[in-house]
Amino acid sequence: MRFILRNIIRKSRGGAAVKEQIVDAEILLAGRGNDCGVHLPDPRVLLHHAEFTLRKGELYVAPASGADLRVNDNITQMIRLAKGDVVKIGPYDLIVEVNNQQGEVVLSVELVLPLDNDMTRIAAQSNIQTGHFSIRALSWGLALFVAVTFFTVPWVMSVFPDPGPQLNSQKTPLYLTTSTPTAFWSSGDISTAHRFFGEACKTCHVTPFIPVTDGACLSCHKSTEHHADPLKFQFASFEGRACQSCHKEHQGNRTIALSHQEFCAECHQDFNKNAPKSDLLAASDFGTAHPDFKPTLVIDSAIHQVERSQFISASPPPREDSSLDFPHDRHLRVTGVRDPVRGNIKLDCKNCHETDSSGAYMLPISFDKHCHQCHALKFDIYVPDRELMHGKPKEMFKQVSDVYDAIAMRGGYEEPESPPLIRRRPGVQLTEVEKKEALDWAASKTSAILNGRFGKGQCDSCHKIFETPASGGPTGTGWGVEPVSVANAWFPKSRFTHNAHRDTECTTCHRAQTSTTSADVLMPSIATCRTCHGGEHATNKVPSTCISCHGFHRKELDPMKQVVHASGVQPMSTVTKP
Amino acid sequence: MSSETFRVAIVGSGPGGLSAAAHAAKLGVSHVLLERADHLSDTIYKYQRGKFVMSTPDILPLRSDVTFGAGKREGILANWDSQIEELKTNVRFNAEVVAIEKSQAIFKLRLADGSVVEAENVVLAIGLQGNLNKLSCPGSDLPIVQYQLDDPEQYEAETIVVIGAGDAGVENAVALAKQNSVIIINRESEFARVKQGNLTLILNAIEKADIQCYYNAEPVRVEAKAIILTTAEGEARVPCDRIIARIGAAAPRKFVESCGIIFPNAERTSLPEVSSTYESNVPGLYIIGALGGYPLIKQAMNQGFEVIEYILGNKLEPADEPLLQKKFAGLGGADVDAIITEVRTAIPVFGNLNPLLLRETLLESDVHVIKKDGVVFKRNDYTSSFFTIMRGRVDIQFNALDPTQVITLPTGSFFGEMGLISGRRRSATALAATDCVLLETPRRTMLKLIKSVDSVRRTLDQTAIMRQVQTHLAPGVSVADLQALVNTAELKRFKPGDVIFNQGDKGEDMHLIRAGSCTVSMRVGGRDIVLSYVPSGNYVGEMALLSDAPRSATVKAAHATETIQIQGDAFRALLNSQPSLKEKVETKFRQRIMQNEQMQRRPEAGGIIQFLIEQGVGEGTDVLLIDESLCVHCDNCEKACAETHEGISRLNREAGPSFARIHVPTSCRHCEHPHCMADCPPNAIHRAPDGEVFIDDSCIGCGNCERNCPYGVIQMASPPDAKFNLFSWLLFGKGPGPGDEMAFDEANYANQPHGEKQKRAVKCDMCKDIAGGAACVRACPTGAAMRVSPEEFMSVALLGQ
Amino acid sequence: MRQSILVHRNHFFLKIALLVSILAIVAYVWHQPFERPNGGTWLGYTLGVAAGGIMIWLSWFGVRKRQYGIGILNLEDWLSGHVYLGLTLAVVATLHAGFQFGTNIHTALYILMMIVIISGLLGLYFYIRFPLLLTENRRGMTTEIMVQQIADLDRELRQLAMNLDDATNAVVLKATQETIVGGSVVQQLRGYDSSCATAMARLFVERSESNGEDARRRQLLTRMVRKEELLKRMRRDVQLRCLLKFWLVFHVPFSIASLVALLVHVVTVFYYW
Repeated sequence: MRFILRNIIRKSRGGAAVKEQIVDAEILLAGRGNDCGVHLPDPRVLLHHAEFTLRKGELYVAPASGADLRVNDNITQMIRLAKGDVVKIGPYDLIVEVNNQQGEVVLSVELVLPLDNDMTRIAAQSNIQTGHFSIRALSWGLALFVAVTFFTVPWVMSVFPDPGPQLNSQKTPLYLTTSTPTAFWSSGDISTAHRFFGEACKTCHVTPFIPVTDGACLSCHKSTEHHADPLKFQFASFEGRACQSCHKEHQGNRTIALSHQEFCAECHQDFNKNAPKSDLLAASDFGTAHPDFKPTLVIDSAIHQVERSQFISASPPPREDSSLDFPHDRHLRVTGVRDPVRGNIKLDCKNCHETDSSGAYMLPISFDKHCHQCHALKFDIYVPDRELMHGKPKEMFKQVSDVYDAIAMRGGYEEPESPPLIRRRPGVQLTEVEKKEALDWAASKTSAILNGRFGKGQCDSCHKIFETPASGGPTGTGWGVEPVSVANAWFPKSRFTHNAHRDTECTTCHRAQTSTTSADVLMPSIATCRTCHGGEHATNKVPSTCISCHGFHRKELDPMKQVVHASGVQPMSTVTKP
Repeated sequence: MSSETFRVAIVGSGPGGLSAAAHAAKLGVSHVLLERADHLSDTIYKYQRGKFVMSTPDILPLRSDVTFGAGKREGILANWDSQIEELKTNVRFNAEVVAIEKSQAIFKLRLADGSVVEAENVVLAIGLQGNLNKLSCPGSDLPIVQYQLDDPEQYEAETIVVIGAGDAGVENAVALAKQNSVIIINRESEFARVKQGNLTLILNAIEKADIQCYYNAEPVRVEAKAIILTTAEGEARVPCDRIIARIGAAAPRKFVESCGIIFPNAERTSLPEVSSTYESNVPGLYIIGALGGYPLIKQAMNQGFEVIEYILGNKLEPADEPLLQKKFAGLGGADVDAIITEVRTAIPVFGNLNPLLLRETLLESDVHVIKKDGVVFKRNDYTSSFFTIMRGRVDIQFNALDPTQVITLPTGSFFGEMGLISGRRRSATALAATDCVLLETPRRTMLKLIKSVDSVRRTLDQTAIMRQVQTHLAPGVSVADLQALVNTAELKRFKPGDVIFNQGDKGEDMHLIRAGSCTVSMRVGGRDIVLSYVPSGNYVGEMALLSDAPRSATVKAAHATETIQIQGDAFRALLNSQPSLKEKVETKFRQRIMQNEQMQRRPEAGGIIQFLIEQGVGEGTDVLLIDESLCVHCDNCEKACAETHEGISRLNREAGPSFARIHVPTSCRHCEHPHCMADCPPNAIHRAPDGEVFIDDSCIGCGNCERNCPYGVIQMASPPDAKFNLFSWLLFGKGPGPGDEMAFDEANYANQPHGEKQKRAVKCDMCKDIAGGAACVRACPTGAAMRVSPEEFMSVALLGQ
Repeated sequence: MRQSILVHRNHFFLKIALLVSILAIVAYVWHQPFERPNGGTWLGYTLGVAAGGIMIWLSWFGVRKRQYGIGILNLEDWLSGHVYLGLTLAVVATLHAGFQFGTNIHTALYILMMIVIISGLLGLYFYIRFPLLLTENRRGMTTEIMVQQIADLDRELRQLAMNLDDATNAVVLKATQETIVGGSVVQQLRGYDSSCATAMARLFVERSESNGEDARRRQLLTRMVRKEELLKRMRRDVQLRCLLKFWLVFHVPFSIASLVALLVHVVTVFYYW
């Protein structure tokens, strides 16, 4: 029978073209394939999608296996079609226009869902426009993060009062927690000395936007002395300089004192230009530009007059008038010295010279400790258990006369030359006359001893003796012992630590073996130091800068600045109170 | 009714005719208006629906009883119908006049239906459309064949065959393709006769398979629902629902001549001569409108009005009288006729324009009164107007190096034609030698004159040839010495790609390129290598002549090109008489040889020239190129363009082809002879003194330029609502970003102006109003964008790098 | 034919940059403060001011880039300067810091700044390298043309599959319907599509045993291969173009952040002076 197909082609703006096509077939196939009567050239249609059949004048449609067929929008299997039914095959609508008993069927075929344009679709579903990232949002975010982390948070925290310096407080020192936000503002590690209150910014930074004032420093360092006497040396008074200008903080965990010799050299390089009145010599580098040492000596022991003498290496060398006669050479003789008890023994420096507790300087020599063992002051072999008192000439006379008065009273003295009365057997009562005679002997004997070789003579072996009119002077026998006076530091303006040099022989610096007299100043010249020490930049020697020996702030002078309590800063003492 | 004798019979109800009829009716003169069709003004009636009709020249006042203003076709027609109705004009439709005879002062007009109309005077207002040509093949009378298309939208879902590859055919085909399947039949192998705009339209359509085209096909037979064609492949049967044949029209000349009217010459374009009262050589027979040389609606309508007055024997001063008086005000108030006659007599170029044409020309020209030594224009100015000397003398400094060398032009001669012809910068400086009066005629008017009036073209060409030879070929050689050469010289026109001469040809003629440019190429190892690009003002072909060998290279026109062909022996003679010139030419000759050597060693440079020529860069004067080896696709150039030009970018970086790292983006080349200028109703496209081609505010958005531009660099657009604000965008992303339009904003839509905004044509103006030059180039971060002038850029030196 | 920004104006900005850097280095070496070199010395302050100035100038590029049709300098000049002074900044800023680093805003600023500079170098590499890669990859075709060609291939594919068995037809249809290029930023950057429907379809057709329709299948295959090739190129194109912008995701936000950091740096340094 015949099917009439109306292929409707819609044009834009609603117009439509209808192509009629007549198909004679028993079974009308609808599908993609060329063999289909209803040829639906669209990939969304199956090769054979559906088939139309007529049975006794009724029109039926049935889907091919697996095909999706809708009639009036219901998925269906074989179904009978009436006029006006809409059969959906893929994107096509087939409408039954006419279906009469004469077995004439008119189907209108229309592609209602055409494939959309490939280009537009590709464009639509793929995105080839680049640059789809909101740089703006990211920028805001990051900027905000930075502002909050590094400004807002630290600032808020800085508003809370600082705990202030925490000397010997029990809680962990704040510098161990440098990760706390306020540290974000720190421009560098805080110096060793100040770390313990490193977190307390306001201790030093008192008022915002004002550079740290001296007041802040002085709240602890009240009595930091001048470098030079400001009255004598105006230029060295550092007027108008702040502590800060030399002591820079936040330079790392180290001292904040300047050690650069150049810093000193600024003034001391050609010093006399700056200070014509001063007798200091120019110095800028220990290794190359430093004068030899000038020891400070006793030049008159009687009145203990001390002054800086000429260079140690001068000839004749500087001599000290100590009124003591101590030949180092004899005591250090290699063959040793005779000890009354132990016989012949060998001495070395340590026997007499001991460092003080700090290990820096030597303790003073004391007779009892260092000399007495050999030099016992016996004065009469018939009185073996008595010695002269050292260092007390005035008591010496009484002491000795006491000894002999007692003997005169008791008798039994064994010296043959002495009168029998004295040598009498003890216990014999004396008459008044005999008593007087005995005491006279005692007096004469006393002065004889004191002026004799066991008295005056014995002192003289080490000390200077001076004569006085008979029976005058401290001893009351016409002589006395001059006081010993030794400079307690030959180089008072420098620091030296024996401990640091303990591995070197004393004699490498102090030529004692050959010193025959204690007038010798057994101090080394700069040359000796320079064998090991060079200037700050020395490469082949121990680099030693100015402050290795010399201090900047000099204890003997007045405080450099008056203590001004800058607002808010209290002296530490008050802070540390609980 | 045929017994009645009218005072006036008006043939044709176009603007002219109906205006005349209306006036006659107004004055109660007995008249009849005979219209072939069944409606008024058939030509305009056949415009496509909705076509915008212009009312140029705007300066000309309308003088008619029927009103008229620029507007849509429908409005204008309706208006005329109603007014003709009101004025009780006597119109006879379906009255086609087949013959007009005159017997003792009475005209007998025989109509197609055999009836006769008698009248004392006849006004021919039939225009130029004439009778449509019909298909000659059998079956052409079948109902499916029609010869015009009134409304393309009345057909849907049909298969339509359009015969004819002229503008009409193409326009119909394109319009129909919107909702029909269209097949266009073209006799030739290409669409040679159509406007550039239509050409692009049809070619796109064919490419997009919207329209199917049979080239080199002729209709053989028409059947009930099909047409049989002969094609290259043999006969083809094309089933179709409709056939529309647009195969031109026979000019009405034969008919007009049959009325006893004489034409000045045999040329197709020539028109019958009419007196200043529009009366032809046949007394009582008047001609107005296009047939009389006045294609514009307004002119025709004025003439319609005037001709009735003249027929009644009234004096009437032309409508443009006051305007002309204003123009000549500077000349001490002499009256218009006197001055016009002075122009006629003093200036030979305009000597034999008919008075009306002359008036019109003067109307569009400017009158300059210049004191002695005043500068008219300078060398390298980018102006293209045409000057004629009405009084006084003018010095031309033709030698750039030595301003003392001058040619003095006497009264009546003209100058400035070279810029007009070549479309390039002025090649000389013009100074007033004495106090003088000059007429400056705009390029457009001049081109129209040259096209329509032979005499003008001829005089122009001859002098131009002489001058061009003098300037570009033989500077400092006297006119006398050149005369011989110029007499034998002739003008040649070449279409893009035309061969001027082939490598190996015999022949020793020289070509002086006076407009356009060409490429010199040589066949090396089986492939053409472009050796150089020769812009206008240079000559080619001297090598063969000097070395009397065959042509050493092929010269092709890069685009529409005009050359002056100079006879070889004439030139040789000249050289022998002019040793210094000979010297010059020979040095140039040697340079060429060396250059060719270089180029053969560097074919890629030639390739670049070739490519650029293909992209039409050759006819540009300033082209935007992008060095792809540097371009990072940031589109900052586009953004810069948009932001410096009310939000619309004039260039499309991505689009456009590339070759050897050079990318030619879609952007204006500022052509020597801008295609966009060709057909701009309001004449809104101009060339600025520095050469920028720009569109001014008088643009009416008709889209002609967009269609005419072969490079698709003009777009119709309206500025976006929102302006880009740098900081609010940069910081908060508020408003549109640089270069992109404001996204559609639902909320504000309600209070935004509805309906589409008036679109205007926008194109690159080379940032002529922005100090510092082209924004696109200055905004290029990597320096990839460059603006180049083809001559420089395509010079070997530059490509050498 | 044109010069790249590196050689722009005959290395004018390179020269300036070198001059500044060398001056800075010489000054730094010559200047021996008693404390460790740091931002607090007079040289430190000088370098700091210089660095800050440079940073602000560099950031201004973002604004200047969008100010069109103004200024004496072309954007090319600006970019050239931007690159070279950017590198100088690394030197000047490092010297300003005196190589001192810590857990603080100052070092944070330094790090942010270095990230900006390094990302900038990356971008520079992209700018120098990619244009050529893009050009070569495109072979003179624009994206439109490529899409067009793919679309055409799709049409042909459907045509060819029309009379093949339903299974093949289905995969081919899928292939033509689900052509995706680019997509999310990640996909764009990846530059390939692991689940490319076309590739799947090709494999399917290759594997499926032919039943007579060999010629058709071969045509199918050739077209699918061509389509894949086109897709590959388009994806590469997208990838490159995406990268050309993507580096800015680091460059810009970090430069903004470092501007803020700069402000904080200056304020805090003088807050606790």
